[in-house]
Amino acid sequence: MEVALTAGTTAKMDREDAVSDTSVLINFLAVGRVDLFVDHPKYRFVITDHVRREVTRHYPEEFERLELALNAGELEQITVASVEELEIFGELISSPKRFGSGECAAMAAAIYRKQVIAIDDNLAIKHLAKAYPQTRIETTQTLVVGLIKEGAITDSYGDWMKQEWESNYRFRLKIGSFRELL
Amino acid sequence: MSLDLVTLGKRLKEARENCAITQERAAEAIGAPRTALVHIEAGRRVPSTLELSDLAELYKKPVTHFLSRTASQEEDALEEVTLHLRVERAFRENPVVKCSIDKWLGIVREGAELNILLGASTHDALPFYTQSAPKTLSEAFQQGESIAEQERKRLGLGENPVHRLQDLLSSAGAWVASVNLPKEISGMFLHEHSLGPVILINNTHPRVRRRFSYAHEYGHALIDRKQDATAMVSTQANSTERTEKRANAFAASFLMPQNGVRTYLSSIDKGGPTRHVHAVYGIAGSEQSEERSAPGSQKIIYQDVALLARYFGVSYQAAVYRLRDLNLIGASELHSLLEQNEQANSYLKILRFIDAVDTEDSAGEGIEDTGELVSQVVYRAIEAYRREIISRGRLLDLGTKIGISGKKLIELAEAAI
Repeated sequence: MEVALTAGTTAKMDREDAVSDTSVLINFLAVGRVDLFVDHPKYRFVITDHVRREVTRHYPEEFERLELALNAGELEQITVASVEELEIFGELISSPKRFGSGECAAMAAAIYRKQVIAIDDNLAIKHLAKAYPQTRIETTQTLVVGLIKEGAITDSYGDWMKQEWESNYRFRLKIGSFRELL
Repeated sequence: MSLDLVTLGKRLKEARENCAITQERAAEAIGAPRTALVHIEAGRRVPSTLELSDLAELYKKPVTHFLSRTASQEEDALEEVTLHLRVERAFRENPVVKCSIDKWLGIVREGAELNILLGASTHDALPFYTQSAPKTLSEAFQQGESIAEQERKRLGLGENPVHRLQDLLSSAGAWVASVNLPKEISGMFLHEHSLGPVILINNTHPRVRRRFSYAHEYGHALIDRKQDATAMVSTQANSTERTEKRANAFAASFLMPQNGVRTYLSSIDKGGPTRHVHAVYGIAGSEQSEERSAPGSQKIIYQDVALLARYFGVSYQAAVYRLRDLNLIGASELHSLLEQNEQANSYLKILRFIDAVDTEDSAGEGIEDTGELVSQVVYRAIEAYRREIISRGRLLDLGTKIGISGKKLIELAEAAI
């Protein structure tokens, strides 16, 4: 395995705020590289309390890594609690019960706050594109491409992570190698 | 959709009170002071999405139950409320049980909603046998017996024992689970158009009694389900009602078909007449010969009944009563065989036919047997995910509800793609 370069080559101040769903966060936690996520050159990610709950409940192995990042102040947790956000949450969760509550909370926050959302679920991505076309979406794949382009990791390292996700976490990308996207 | 905080607060308060949960406990569950909950219930504070989800989970209701609804959702909600009121009436004295039933109904509702998303029919496949209310006990027995025979015929069961009753019920569209209920309740049958039939059985009862309860509630499902919401609870207190007697007669006949019982007894050379007359027709006219069984050889004793009970998967007592109903034993034999209940169960224990034993110590150990219900929901969830009808996040929520790791559920669903 090739050693990854240090993340964060772009000045952190220029980064844009973004909300992450569990699906993307968990991929970086799974390979032990949450640093690539929190120091992403393009985005300053926040997670909702709902996402934290999902990791706590369903991903005990990754939970500790998330807590370390939160306690160290590297990652911020937000609460989705405005009337407008709760309204969007209500629309998403009853449309008709295709999405999970954590996903809906993350999407509602991103939509209302006009922030980028990092999410991997195809159904959610299609729904956002149709019902909330102004929402900008990033996925694990596009974030890794961004990391490679910014020089935070090499394409070989990206492929190693891809291999790990496929072999150990049943998360598949529809590409052979990140080189195809560069 | 515009959010009405007052209505939201009112619905939250109603749900909390229905589960007999104090404001303190609810506030603790969401990690907030009691005053925060008071303000939420009064519509003066917006709950966060996590607080709302946590309260919904605590009150065993879907989050959507509390948010504004469309006209069709209102209609479903009305039906849900009707069923809820019926459960409420049945368990007025026991809010904890009521809340536990809400939990299982919540899982059933998830399955039914997945059915709709998958485009599967919402109509259950169970037939409905129209019957007038029995006017006498005898009529109740006849109706139950007759419907059991028709149902066995419809299912092509012949005279054989029914092995996996839960499988049979779930394949017919019923949602079934064996859950922890108070001792005095053997089971319940719930029905609502959008859900289909739901059968919940007391898991703390011995296996053979649970089988009888499944068949009993099955009888209710075939005879007593109505167009609107139905909730029937089978308890010791209402066991003398004629509709309950009819469901019992159905269960006994369905589990121990008349011909099946006779064939079984014949195979062990029991229960026949003591005198057989053979008539042979010939050219010279008919000839008759008479054969007598050895004295006492046809007498049905406790071990015959215990093995018969084991063969059909019913309790010893249920088998004794069935033999009496079929006139295979008389009143005095009924009495003496019932007195040997303990002996019969000890006999079954020695032979290690533990499944057939009907004693308190053979009852479930508190681990609810909800595998059938959970598998019904998981099957639909994986199929819906594979077809991109539900998301990964929805799988996580379903995992929480049915007690399976969401991570594992996603892995299983991904493997199906």
